[in-house]
Formats: sequence, C-alpha cells, structure tokens
Amino acid sequence: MFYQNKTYKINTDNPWQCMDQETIILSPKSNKAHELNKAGTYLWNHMQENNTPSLNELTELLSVKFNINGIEAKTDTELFLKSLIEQQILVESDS
Amino acid sequence: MATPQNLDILNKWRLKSSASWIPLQASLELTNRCNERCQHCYIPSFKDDPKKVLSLHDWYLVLDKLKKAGTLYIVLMGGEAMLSPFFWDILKYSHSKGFHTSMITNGMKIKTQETADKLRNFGIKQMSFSLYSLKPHVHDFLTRVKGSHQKTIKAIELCQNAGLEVGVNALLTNANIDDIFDLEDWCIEKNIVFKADPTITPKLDGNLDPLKLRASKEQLLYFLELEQKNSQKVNQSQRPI
Repeated sequence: MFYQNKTYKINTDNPWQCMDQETIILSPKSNKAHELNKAGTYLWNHMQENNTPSLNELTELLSVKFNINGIEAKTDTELFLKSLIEQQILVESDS
Repeated sequence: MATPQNLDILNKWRLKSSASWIPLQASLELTNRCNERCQHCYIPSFKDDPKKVLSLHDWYLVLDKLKKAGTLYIVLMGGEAMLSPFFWDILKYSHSKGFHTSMITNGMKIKTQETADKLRNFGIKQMSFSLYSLKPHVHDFLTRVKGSHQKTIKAIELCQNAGLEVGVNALLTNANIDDIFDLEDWCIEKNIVFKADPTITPKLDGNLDPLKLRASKEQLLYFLELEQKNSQKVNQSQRPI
C-alpha cells in the first residue's frame, strides 16, 4: 500500500553499480543480485540525487522521461517501489 | 550469491564491467600461508615473504580504492585466507564498507560452531570450500595432509548450520576425476553449489610439477560427455510438458 505522504530512501547497506543505463544491486541480507532496467535506473539515479522522493515525484519523472500516461507511470512506479521495499533495498518513511 | 538466477545476472555484469574497466569483483590473496600442501597449488611457497607482505593499513587502503573504483564483491582467499593475522580485521572492514564478501577456504581453521557463526556475524555471505573427493584418501592425497578431508567436511557442516551459503570448488585431476560425480551428487543432496574445474597451471616460479596431476584427454572427454548427459537429463526433467 502506497500513500501520498510517504517518501522512499535507498538503503545504503546494499552495494550497487550503474552501467550503460542499467543497475545491479547486491543484497547481502538475502544474498541475491537484482537488476534494474533503463527506467528503473532512471528512478534509482534520481533517488541518489534527491534523497527522499515521493511516489508522485517519481511517477511524474517516469511519465515525462518515457512519454507514458500518468496511470501507467504510477502503476509502474508502485511496482518498482514495492519490489525494492520487499527486498529491503529501499526504505519507506513518513514525509 | 551463486544461485542459478544470480549467476545469470552476475555473468552478464562481469562482461559489462570488464568492458567498462570497472572491477566489479576483486579477489584478495591475503596470505601465502597455508595449512595444506596441495600438490596442484600454483603458489611456490607456503610462507609469506616479509618484504612483500601488506600491512593491515595497506589492506584498508586497497579496500578504500576498490570502493572508489566501483567494486561490489570481494573474495578473500590465500594460501589459506584465515591464516592471515589480519583476516578478521579485513573481513570486518570489508563488511563495513558495504562490499558483498565471500571467501575461498579449505575450512581447516573452522573447527567450532562459534567460528562459523563469527564468520556470518562479521559479514561473510558465501563460503567456497576446496574439496576434491568424497573419498578421504583421495582428498588427503591431493592436499598432502592426513585428516584434512574430515576437517573440511566438518567445516562445511558448521557453515551450513550457521546459515552461510556453501559451495564446493573441486579441481579435476587424474586422481579424483573418476569419482567426481559422486561428489557432485553429494553436493546437490546437501544444497551445496558445486563447481569442477580442470585448469591446472605451473607454479608461479615456473615449476611444472602440478601439471603431472592434469587429467588425461580421455578422462576429460569422458567427464565432459557424462556431464553433458547429466545436464540434458536435468533439462528434460524440468520441461513443463
């Protein structure tokens, strides 16, 4: 469940590397490697620069950058956040 | 980290990183010291040269530089990595820098559950054990240390109890190739990642003695054919229809 008043932050315990518009993230806790595609990497890079963006902010970015409608962008962003939170790669907090 | 899905991702990223000159993974040879005397080992001496050995401060600098260079994954190895006087400090520092840290070991220093638990608590995620056969006399023949087989098997058990991901690296030689599939079956049964490698090189000083252990062409062909058949069997059994 995602709320408008939440922000999302990268968990710095996970080593990561960006190359060629893709990202690999190692998750020492689960002992897994995760990969982000071009869109995921775009959001990830934004989260690096802007520490704690909100769902709306990320949705807007995705929509503009990849020229997709707001509903689709929101669904994709929610999936992205949900998956990374489950893997403890992102931390959700109140804004 | 070496699950099949992870391997696909890591192999892809190894290629990407080498093309970009980013050392995604680094293997640190902490020491030449070893408590085995493996016939096939490429290291000429089982001692450290005091003039060449790095201080703890040097190792910290190495890790700092690797972090800056973009490294994510550190493998601690030797000789026997755990015989380095700085092993625990380096492991702790590597973990604190956020590296995913694993190690290659013979397990001879892991004698108690406390040690295995300490490895986990200090941030080790994956252990690769050098184990050459299920037959003690074959393994001990290659390591030239009587009782080493029993100790390595015990260490594997302790590390699995500690919740560490365990792998076995088996060098293929003319002494163990005939029963290598028994070892592979044992690993599968124990949920251990198994890897067999036929590469035997001369020692770093040019001594060719290790090459006497190379499997013959016939042995290798037999091994590869059997391996292919086994992998086809696995593939067929996994087909949905």
